Amino acid sequence: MSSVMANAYMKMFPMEGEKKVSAGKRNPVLDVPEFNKAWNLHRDTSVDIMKRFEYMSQCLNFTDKDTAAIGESKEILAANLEAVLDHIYWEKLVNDPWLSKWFRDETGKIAKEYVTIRRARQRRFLLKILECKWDEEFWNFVRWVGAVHVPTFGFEDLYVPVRLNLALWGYIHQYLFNFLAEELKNDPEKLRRITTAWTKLFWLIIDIYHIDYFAPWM
Amino acid sequence: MVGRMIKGICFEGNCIRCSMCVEESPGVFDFTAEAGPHVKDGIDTALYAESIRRAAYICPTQYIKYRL
Repeated sequence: MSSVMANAYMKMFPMEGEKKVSAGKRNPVLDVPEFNKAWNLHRDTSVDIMKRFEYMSQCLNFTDKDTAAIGESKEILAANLEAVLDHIYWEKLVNDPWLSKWFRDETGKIAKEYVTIRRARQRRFLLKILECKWDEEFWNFVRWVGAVHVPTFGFEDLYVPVRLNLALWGYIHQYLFNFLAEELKNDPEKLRRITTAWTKLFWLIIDIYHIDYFAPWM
Repeated sequence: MVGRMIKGICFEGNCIRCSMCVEESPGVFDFTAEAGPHVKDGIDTALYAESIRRAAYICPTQYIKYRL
């Protein structure tokens, strides 16, 4: 007996369907202290979101300087947030041949009320980022936003592809950078500081956002 | 501003029915798709000051007003 989710899983991870053959010898990985240490780190970062953030931060070298730089960008971005969101939602998303699929009603027309709500939710996401509070509440919020885009709560039909997330976040990323480059064209050092910090933060967010998309070993 | 009590909440303008106010302040707001948000009966708003401020801050149309 199979389910929609089981079939989807097997298509996503075809290695699971392969016949497993024993190597005929024991795997010594956990006898090696360095590997054991890595295992503990892997386990901790899989179950503790703040440890995950701490590890990813040191891995990406996301420091207080980056937080300060994102704070510096607040005065520029907050003042232009509505225009940025209008562009992303009312110019890009509703016109993109693939992304717009998620914003259409059953007749194929753009569902304007729905776009308005999605735009409002993205606005909240960006406002929370601009507060620069990287605490457990913030990272649980990021994780929750990701989790509600997949069948975490039992809605088997609900699956927003990773590709769409990457396309949207990638588009926002480059759009913000071009916007900042224009605003800070007379201050290249500030531009470098801010865009470096935002790049690291985007990758941190992409990791936490997709926790419930993937098994921890992925 | 932090730590000051909130004495009253009202709604002004348009609501787009995003329901984020309930997510930000579930102890204070209820929501129905038809009527939008409303304040729960008998709420001591002072106890929820921070979450009410957050709901108002997040509200995309500034529909939520509060009085200090």
